[in-house]
Amino acid sequence: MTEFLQQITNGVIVGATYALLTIGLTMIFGLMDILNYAHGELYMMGGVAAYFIMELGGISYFMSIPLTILLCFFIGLVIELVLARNLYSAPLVTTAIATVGLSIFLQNTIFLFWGNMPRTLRSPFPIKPLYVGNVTLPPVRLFVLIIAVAVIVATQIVIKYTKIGRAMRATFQDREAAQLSGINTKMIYAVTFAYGSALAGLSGLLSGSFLTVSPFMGPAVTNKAWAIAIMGGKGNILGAIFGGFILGVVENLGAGYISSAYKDVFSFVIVVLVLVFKPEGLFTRKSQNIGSKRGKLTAKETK
Amino acid sequence: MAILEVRGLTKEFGGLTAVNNVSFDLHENEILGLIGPNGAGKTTTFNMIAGSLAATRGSVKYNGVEILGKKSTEIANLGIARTFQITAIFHGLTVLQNVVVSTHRLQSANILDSLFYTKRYREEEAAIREKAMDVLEFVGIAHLADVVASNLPYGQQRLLEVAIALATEPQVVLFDEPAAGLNPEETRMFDNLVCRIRDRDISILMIEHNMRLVMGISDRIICLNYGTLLAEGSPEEVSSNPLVIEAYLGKGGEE
Amino acid sequence: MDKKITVTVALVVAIVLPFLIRSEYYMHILVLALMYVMLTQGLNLLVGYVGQLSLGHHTFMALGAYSSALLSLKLGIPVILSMLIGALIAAFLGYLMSKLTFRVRGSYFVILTTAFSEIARLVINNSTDITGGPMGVRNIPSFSIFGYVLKSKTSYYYLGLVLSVIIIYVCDRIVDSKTGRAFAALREEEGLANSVGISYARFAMVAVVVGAFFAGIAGGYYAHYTNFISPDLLSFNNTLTILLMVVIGGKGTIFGPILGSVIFSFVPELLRAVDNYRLPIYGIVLMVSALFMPKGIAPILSNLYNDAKKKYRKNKLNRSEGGIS
Repeated sequence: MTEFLQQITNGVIVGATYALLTIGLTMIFGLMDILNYAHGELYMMGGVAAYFIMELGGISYFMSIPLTILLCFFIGLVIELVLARNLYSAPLVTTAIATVGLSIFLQNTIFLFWGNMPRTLRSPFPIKPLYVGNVTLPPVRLFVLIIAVAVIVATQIVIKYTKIGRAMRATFQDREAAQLSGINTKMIYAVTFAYGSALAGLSGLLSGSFLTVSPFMGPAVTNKAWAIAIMGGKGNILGAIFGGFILGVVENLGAGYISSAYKDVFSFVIVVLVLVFKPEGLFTRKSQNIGSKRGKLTAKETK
Repeated sequence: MAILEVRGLTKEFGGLTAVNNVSFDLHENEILGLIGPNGAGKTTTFNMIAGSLAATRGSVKYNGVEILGKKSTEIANLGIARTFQITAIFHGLTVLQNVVVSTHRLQSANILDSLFYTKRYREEEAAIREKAMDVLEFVGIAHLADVVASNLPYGQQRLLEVAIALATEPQVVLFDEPAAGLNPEETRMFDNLVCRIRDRDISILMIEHNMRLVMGISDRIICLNYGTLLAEGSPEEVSSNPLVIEAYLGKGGEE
Repeated sequence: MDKKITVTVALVVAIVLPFLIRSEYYMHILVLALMYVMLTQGLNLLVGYVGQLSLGHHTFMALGAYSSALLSLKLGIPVILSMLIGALIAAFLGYLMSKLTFRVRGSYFVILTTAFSEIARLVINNSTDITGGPMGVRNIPSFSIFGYVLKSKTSYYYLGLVLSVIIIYVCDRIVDSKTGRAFAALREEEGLANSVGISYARFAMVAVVVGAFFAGIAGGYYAHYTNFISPDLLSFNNTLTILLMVVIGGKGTIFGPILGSVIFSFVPELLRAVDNYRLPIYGIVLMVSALFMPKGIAPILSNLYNDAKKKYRKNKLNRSEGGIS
């Protein structure tokens, strides 16, 4: 029983980082409809940035968090302005190659500075784990969970109750109507992309605090994020949140009880099952799906 | 027996009934006009007959055989062609290629034939090109055969759509607002084209908002409003039907 | 007429090439380039003609490679036969995959192909008993025909040339047939294609299965050439390479992927000079190509060629009109 609870706990914590990562991705996918292969690199750069901020800047772990978020927000903004915005109306193949090119560029450029060695971010928490019943919980992981949940909740608040959040939702529902009612969709896209990148970077920082950071860890994470985004439904933030936690837990239970070698396979199996049986996502009602022509889900509009 | 027998066709979207228990016949070699204000359910009815939308209830018989529930590709292969409300052409292909591609259901040569350049392949390739040119001549755009479809002006794109439908050698054609956006000159030519199609032993069901066009060439007319069939009969009967007039009141009079 | 001349010249050059190139190293690159020619023709059917992006093509190659390798090594089946069976296995898995994926398009389809290939990679990597796991399969028998065993790079070059020519020919014939036209219709306007009787499920399946078969052949070719394969065949880089060759070469044309295969087989060599910065530069090249050459190189070359032809004709006309004939 303890084993079971332990796996669940671990899964929830990892799942929280997955949720953060995927919220950004699903916002970008939902709003701008692009297949961004470089999302995992933003995650990676969050960890890398935090490391350099702490080691070279001598800044404390806690201060490095908002700094990393800002940095990743800024990087995302630059990427959007220079690359992404040219891809919104481009065919899928073009976008795929462009974003893969970006990911290769980022991975290998960071590699030049970092080398190949995985490193863990140094956090000021004691190593001695806390105990909840028989379940061990290292303090750093608890901190990660708290921050992740806090940011997730904050994001929901922003989306639901702020002016910009409403503008985002309006643009997601109907781009033309949003433009007609005076919303600056170009700015919305830029902000969404930057915000999604910031969340990814934070996710990388958090998971780098108890796992590792290395230049080539992006692609594996990108695949997982996409799996979760599809599971949760395109543009569905709640779906991304639930999906993230679910995947984290499933992976850990699977690794614990079935096989740890196949840990990464779960996200892929889930994607296959979802896309074969319920392509609009587990948490989306069919009628809610706004399939645009390019990221088109099904050939028929309704069935 | 009518070529198309629609009985009790119904489409419900959650709480909304878009098409409500619609029944009508399409007789052979007739032009049946389908009119009604915007949102009356005309295109929805089309989509159900053509197989691109699942019906909630009802029956559609084509030459006595039930086709409701079949996929749109199957229905196309049975000889029912359709055009779309929003211009649908194969944008990147030339006009000729557009039509050649559409003769798909007439072709029987397969990859092996192509591989070995068999007689069947060579003859069929020549035959479909000839057929395509014939269709283009009939429609009036043969001189544009090598133009890339997306470069055509709007009126000729609409003609290309008709050519695409005719290329399938259909028995029935469903036209969805074929004359939308055409100027009066183009509309007159369209008028003529539709009649010539009917004269080729093709039965036509046509949605149109242009009253002069539809009243002028239709043999019979049916009128829908809010998904329900309001009237069925000759153009004179339908246009003087008080229910029909009421449905259009305040629409500014489509002319 | 043009086409026949070009093809004949290209064939002659290809046949004579090994005599002009004395280096083992460049022969090796040419052998791999031919493998890519086989791979890209198949992928092009789906990406260039039907218009759906797949990132799982390398999986079919790996399946063909592993099947052929294991059948010939462990069961003693003659290589020609094992390659064929390997390709059939790959084709069958392509069939299954298309049956499962026909309902989705665009990004969703891409993710699905990625998922399938990752699952395959993990399975192959972990099935150590059968596939040797990360250690791979060694001592794979070389290709042999009528008892004659192929050992030299040049002999594999000619084998590859024969296979490539066959595959190119078949793909060209497919494109120039009812099926190829159906592909194009689906790519341009799927709803309209449906309305003239063309079904995505059916034709996408043809594209996938044929592509998978050829990829399986390419995989077998590779396995019996290098005598060693490992799960590295299933790395994402492989599928990326194949895709780039198709797209940057020029998707939707028969010539484009061939061009892409040759260029991208030799480009890594060119970039070796800036070894450290090779990959970041590569990334930049990709982004730039995607943004500025979305249709690939082949259409650009084709336009240049046509413009040159027009100019030549115009000059000829002017001269004959202006001069005294």
